[in-house]
Amino acid sequence: MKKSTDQVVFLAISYIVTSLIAIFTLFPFVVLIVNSFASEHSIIFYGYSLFPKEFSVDAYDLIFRSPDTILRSYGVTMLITTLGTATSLFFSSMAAYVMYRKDLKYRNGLAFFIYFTTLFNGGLASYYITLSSTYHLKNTLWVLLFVPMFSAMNILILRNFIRGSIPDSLCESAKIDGAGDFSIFIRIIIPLSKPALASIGLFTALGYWNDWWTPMMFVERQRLFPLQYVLYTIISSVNVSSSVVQNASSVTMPQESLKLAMTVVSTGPILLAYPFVQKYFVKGITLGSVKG
Amino acid sequence: MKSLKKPGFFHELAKNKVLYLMFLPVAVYYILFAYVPMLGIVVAFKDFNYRDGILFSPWNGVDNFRYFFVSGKALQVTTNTIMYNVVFLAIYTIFSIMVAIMISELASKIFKKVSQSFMFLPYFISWVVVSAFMYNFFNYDYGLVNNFLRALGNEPINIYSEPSYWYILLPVLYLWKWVGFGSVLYLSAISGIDQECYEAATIDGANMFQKIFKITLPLLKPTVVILLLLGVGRILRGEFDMFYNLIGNNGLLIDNTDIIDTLVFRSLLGTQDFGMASAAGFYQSVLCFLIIMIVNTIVRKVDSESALF
Amino acid sequence: MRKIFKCVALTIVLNFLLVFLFAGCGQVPPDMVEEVESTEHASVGDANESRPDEEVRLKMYLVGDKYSDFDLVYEQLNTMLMEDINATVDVSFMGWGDYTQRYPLAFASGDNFDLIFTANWCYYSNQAVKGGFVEITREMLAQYAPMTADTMYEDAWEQAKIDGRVFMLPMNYKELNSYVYMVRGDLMDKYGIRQISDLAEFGEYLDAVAKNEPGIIPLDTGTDLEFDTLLRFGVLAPLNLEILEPQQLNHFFNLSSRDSGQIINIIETPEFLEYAKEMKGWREKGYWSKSALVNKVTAKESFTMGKSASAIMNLSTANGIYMSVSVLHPEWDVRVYDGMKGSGVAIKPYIQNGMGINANSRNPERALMFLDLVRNDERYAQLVMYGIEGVHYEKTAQGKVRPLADTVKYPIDSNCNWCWRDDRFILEVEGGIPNYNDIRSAWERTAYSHPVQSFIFNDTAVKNEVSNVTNLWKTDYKVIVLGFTEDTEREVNELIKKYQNAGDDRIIQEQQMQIDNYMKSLR
Repeated sequence: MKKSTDQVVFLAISYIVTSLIAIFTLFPFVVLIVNSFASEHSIIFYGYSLFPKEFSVDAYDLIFRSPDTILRSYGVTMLITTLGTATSLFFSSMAAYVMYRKDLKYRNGLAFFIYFTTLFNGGLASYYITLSSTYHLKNTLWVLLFVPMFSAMNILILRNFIRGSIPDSLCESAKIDGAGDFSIFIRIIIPLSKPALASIGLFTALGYWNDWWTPMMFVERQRLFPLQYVLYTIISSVNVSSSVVQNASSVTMPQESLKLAMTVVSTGPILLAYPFVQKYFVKGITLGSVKG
Repeated sequence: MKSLKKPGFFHELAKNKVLYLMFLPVAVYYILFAYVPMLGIVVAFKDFNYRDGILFSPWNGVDNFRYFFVSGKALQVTTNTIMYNVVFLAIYTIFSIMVAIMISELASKIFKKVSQSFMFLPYFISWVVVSAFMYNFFNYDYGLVNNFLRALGNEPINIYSEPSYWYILLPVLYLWKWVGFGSVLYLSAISGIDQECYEAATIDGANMFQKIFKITLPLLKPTVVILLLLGVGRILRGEFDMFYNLIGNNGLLIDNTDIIDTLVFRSLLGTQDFGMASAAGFYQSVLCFLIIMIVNTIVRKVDSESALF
Repeated sequence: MRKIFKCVALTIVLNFLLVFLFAGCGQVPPDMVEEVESTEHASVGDANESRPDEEVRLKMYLVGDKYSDFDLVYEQLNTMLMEDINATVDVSFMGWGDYTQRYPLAFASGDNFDLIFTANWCYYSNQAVKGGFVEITREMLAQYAPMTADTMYEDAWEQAKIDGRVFMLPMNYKELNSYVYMVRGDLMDKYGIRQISDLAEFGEYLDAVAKNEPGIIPLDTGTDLEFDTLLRFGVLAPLNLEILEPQQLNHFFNLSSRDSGQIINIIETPEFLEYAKEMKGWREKGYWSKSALVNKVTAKESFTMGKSASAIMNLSTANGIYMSVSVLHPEWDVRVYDGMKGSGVAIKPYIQNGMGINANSRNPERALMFLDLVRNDERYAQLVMYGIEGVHYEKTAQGKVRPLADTVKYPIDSNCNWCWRDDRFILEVEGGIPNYNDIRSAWERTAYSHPVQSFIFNDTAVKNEVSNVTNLWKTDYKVIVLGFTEDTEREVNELIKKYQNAGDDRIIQEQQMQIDNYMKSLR
């Protein structure tokens, strides 16, 4: 098919702008990877550079000094990320579907019930006490699973996506055909909301993946540490040994390159998984296919 | 409970019991993990001690709020917080939509995927690392940017003593970090749009730009509105990590870049007083609550389907 | 709008319901009651000499980060403890990055851990006032920690008192840890600088470096922890001033007059103005970076890497740096000079490291027995301080400590063992600064110990003012101390005004009142 002028113009602009932004976002990451292999001395002396003046794997050495711990923590992170994301997506979309149903009188009340929690909270102390003393969730996998589980924002966004992409008539006709509320959700809503589920699922998974706060507050047992928290402890111990501690060995710790290497180590796996999610962002896979 | 008296309540529950049951898991979660801890909000009005715990410590009125208001900075940091958030929200929304539309129209699948992945990278770079980058790029003595300026025979710049640079830098950095993330939502909204609309428009002879302005953007409106509303609901909560890591305690910049969260953090570091920390949080909550109530009501008047609740 | 109103009403009603539901089982720590029960005190007390029958696991929080061989060392410690007092310790660390958040929460949650590190800089008075610790009495010491009762310095015990009651066992170690200049001998020789004995001579050295060594920053200062190190030499030492904790308040008292506890904020002194003017000059002459206000590299690190030509640090840190730098770069000929030269050096308060017992502990007696051993038994004390002999260190013929390859895994004196330091068990480490003993003994001759050092400020009455002044210290004050001023006099005056507006006068008034009362109570 021949492209018309407006298409050509638009595509040209799109390619240029997208490329520029992509370069702008990629460049620091390249610098980051390169300098995670630079020696501490060269970073302190010359700053970051495009080509490392002195090559060194000290930072990675330090991170993988106890490979068992790192591998184990990868395992913990993967487990809570997959389990948590699946659970969260299922119940979030179910709640979103309930709030989407126009025939539900209190749907806005429910939305407010959820949204209100983003406005007010009882503060850190109360949250900590409730979870650790009342629910006894300290030092359990549950706490890692529950704390990042639902986000009011995600649920409300899901509700709007469903609202925007699935016409009421579809539900109504399904109801007339004798489908129950739950089976409408399973058979119609879920298949038709794949792009939305993919993006919200991605956000939820990232939330689990990057969560170091929950383990910091609630987990003291090393075997339950997720990856981000293990990295966090490594970097915080190095930072401090070079500022407080008075022994000789700490002076040469790769403090600066460690920050960078840490980002590489924690980002790698999730970047590999990203293309699998991306396929859901392709234009027009939803309604057309159902209506045939 | 007020609603119990209403005749329709049980009828409604019975009629839609399956739907309400389907909502139950999320409701239980929010009661346990949000509403129960929310009781602790009373600590903002209490002189907290361990013996009595949060609920039974003695009340001390509004004492916990005093430090924030007598600091003489309350108004300034509140304005700063709102101003920065408004700017951030505006550019974030505009750029996310723009990028999403462009990417969705690109022909080459590989280019599409690759560029989108690249845009996501900054999300993984923590503000700590970003601040290290900034320091390395803009450091007066050996920063890349200043070396470059010197090589060209220009005066090097010292961004750490001049607030005006940050009015540009902060929004740009914010955009850089979040645009990939933000465009994902709009991309998935675009992929939810019925292709038939476009086909019909093409037959009617609409060009590319008309299709974008007449079809894509109007259909994205509900998504834009909800995301804006969610953003407005957080307008007094700043991006703490960003400001704290990039600006830190730099006294030369602080008047122009201090937000509520950084001020509170600095002030309470030495005492770690739960009451005072909660008080600042409560102040933010109440303002957010008022703002979102007003905005949501307006949105509801215009288009009830786009409102948050 | 009416609907929304209903929602709000519903939410509030719901909240109230929850209050009633959870008020019962929520925040009243049931263990509080147990603490008062004293029936079993007596029975364990009798078993003082022998080993108690019931096995106990003591839960202990330390502050800091855990080194890889920590568990190995504590395994050995636990074996010894089992034999001696039928107990083991289960240690959790609160990292440097997060202890400020987690520390108060550990108490707030009503958790029944037993022991926790505490110090005047680590929320001792805050938590004690809020009822976080068990009060430790002389009688308890005599019964459960007899060795400690005998060996603890009287001053240390007195310093730990808050309103006459003691809530921690402070370290038993006289720390004389003041500041020194660390410079490079090769550069000194190159530019003909003979010695550094005061700030002016140090300035000459910096000047020579600034003019002739373009790649080297003369003094890489500016990080939050050390931006005002020069102030010590420029203002504090000449005036014999010592800081009144907490540091962020910037309040000082005069060390040399033991009878007076006059508090001043140095920014109002003429010396400070002079100093600020001088620092402006130093900044302009490029003695430190134009980006110093946001500097992220510590002076120490920068010096070690050869990026800067000098560093100011306390003697023991300097000693550690010297050990490694003199091996890595012998050609630098690193030299260390006494920065205090004749002026008063304070013996650090004993309560800057200590151990407290949680008010909710089920085994405060056993906790004391444990503390007694680790503080007073040489085997325990040196194990926690230096690690396992033959693995982490060895003793030389002269009785010094020689680090071994595995010292990295359990670095000397770096494992939050500070709370148990005792003068009797501390050994000299091999390979340190040659004139270490000269400097230290010079300080010992003029060492001061002032009653106000042990004063602990109760800031309840002026909490708001304290938080505002804290904020100023980190921002505006830092700008002036590092010389980033145009019209120094005007800006210092503005700073003084800002302090007044933030309520500094009220803090000083409150502090002065408490100090006067405290001093009276001592007499």
